[in-house]
Amino acid sequence: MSGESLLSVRGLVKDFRERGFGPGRTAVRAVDDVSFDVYPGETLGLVGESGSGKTTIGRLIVRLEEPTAGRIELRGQDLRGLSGRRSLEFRRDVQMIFQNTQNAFNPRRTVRSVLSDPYQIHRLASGAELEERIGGLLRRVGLTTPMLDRYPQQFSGGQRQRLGIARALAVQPALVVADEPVSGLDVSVQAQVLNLFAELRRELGLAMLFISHDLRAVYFLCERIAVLYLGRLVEIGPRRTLLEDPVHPYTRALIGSIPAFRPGGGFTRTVIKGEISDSEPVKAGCHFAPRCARWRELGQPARCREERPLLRPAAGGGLAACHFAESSPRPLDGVAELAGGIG
Amino acid sequence: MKTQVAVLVTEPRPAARRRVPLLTTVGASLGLLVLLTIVIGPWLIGQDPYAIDIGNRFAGPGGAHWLGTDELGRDVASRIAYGARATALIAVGAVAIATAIAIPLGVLTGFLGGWVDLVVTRVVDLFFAIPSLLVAIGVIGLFGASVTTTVLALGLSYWPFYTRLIRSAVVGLRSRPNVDAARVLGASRLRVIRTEILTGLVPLVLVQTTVLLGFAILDEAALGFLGLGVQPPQASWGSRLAESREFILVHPELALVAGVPIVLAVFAMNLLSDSLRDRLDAKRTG
Repeated sequence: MSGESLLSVRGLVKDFRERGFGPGRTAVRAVDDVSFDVYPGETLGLVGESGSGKTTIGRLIVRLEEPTAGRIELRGQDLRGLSGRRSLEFRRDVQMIFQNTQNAFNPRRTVRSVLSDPYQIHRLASGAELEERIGGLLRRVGLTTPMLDRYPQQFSGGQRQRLGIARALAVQPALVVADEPVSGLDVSVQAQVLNLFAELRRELGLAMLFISHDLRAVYFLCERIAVLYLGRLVEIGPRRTLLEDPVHPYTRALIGSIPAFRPGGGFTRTVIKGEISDSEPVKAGCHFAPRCARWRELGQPARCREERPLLRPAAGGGLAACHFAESSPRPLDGVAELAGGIG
Repeated sequence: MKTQVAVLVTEPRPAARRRVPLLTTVGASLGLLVLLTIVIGPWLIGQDPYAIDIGNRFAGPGGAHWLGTDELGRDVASRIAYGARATALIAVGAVAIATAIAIPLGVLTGFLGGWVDLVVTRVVDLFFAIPSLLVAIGVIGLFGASVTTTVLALGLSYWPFYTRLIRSAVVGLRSRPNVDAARVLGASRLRVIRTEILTGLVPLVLVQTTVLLGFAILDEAALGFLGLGVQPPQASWGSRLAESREFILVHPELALVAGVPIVLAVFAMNLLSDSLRDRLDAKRTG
């Protein structure tokens, strides 16, 4: 990927403190020194288990949370300390689509009222023009204008997610952060909404940060994929490389965990041993080491426990954070089937 | 994969006739009866509630006096009807005061959180620790018994618990994703409060208003009965109860006539608040 980056994240850190007052409360590091770029018109997938910090990164980018450390720049401009008018301009550039379609809307406001918000807040339109633009927006996402006077709870999950997309697109943003936008939907509806995303991205030249734990959805939609583990970026690269030839043991395990159906019945999958919470907070060394199959294979080298692996170029054009990435054997061949089964 | 967007059209359903629950009908009917008594009762009865006729004390129902006369020969029906006006005025006033304090304070503390929340909540807790009747008696002791002080006394005894109720509702509403969505769109705090918080409080406030009206009617009667509320000869349901108490052994029908309207009005309010609660549940309406 070349050219000016639209969004640039550098050394992002977010600590959450326990509730209460004063010192002595333990802090949980949800995001740990994460850096990446999103280029104009590009869709970057952010994948990881629950608790890997992917949602927190999304919330930091749309400034629902303030980072503990690190920089988030949009077109080279630091987002911290934006005030008043500049902050409002930023809101027009970066929008968010939420996971929970049930609660992302106020049940006491009609669709018309909700979709008027962006136009009123940014003084983009009023009166007949507002009405016209809301109608256009609704048609754009595959809904119809008679639905304007209904309440969000009168829609299906898929329709509500279309409304969420409409609300985010009203201000014509350059970047959309989509936080698990299809995880709460039926599989058949997921496909429709993913198609809508693909179409909108193509027509509007939208850049997107697509946060998901669903590797198939990410593979369908994203040009590049970033893998998070316990708040750290472990691998980032072009989608094909990442899915077909991953170098980080965690990425391999993640992809291996997708059940691959085989001709003749049955399916195979690898299971990562242990829970994400089994890994104690690691100050030094690799977060994944306690669960890493590769680490056990290599006879538990001390380096993984002592030195934090940094992202460095790996085969296939990506970056991976593993001391022993090069010497990893090729992954399971089930991955090729996954890649072939979609698209 | 072919890109296809299914257009999901749902035809608007014909407005289904909702069956009105029996208790709602009963509550609404009783409420209407109370309302009619307040509005046109005195005019309908056409008797002076303050006209004393010693020669005609304790007259039974009938003739010009629908519900008979009291210990001073005054028309009981018109005293109840005029009394309903005073009692309703007190109830509405007290609820208005409590609401006027509770909504701004509850929204402020619940929405802002942090030290503002901590300080105000502790102060509210302090008021909460004082029994509300004691607050009422204190206010009345300070300013003397009258309609105005009864309003003030009841209003001041209701706001702490109401504020806490509003605050906890706001804390729940504040953490909903629709508030995040509004913030991401660039809505100011005031706008978020207006569009996302206040709209969410509507059902709670409606239900609580009816509940509190019932409480206030009951508390006005209690204060009147203790001689701390509206003072005789001024008519109110509470003062009527106090007057009739002295003759309860010889003329129990007077106490009965004084008490029944209170029971019916409070019952109506409770039924109405229950049906409002059921009906305003956002997940079922739209």
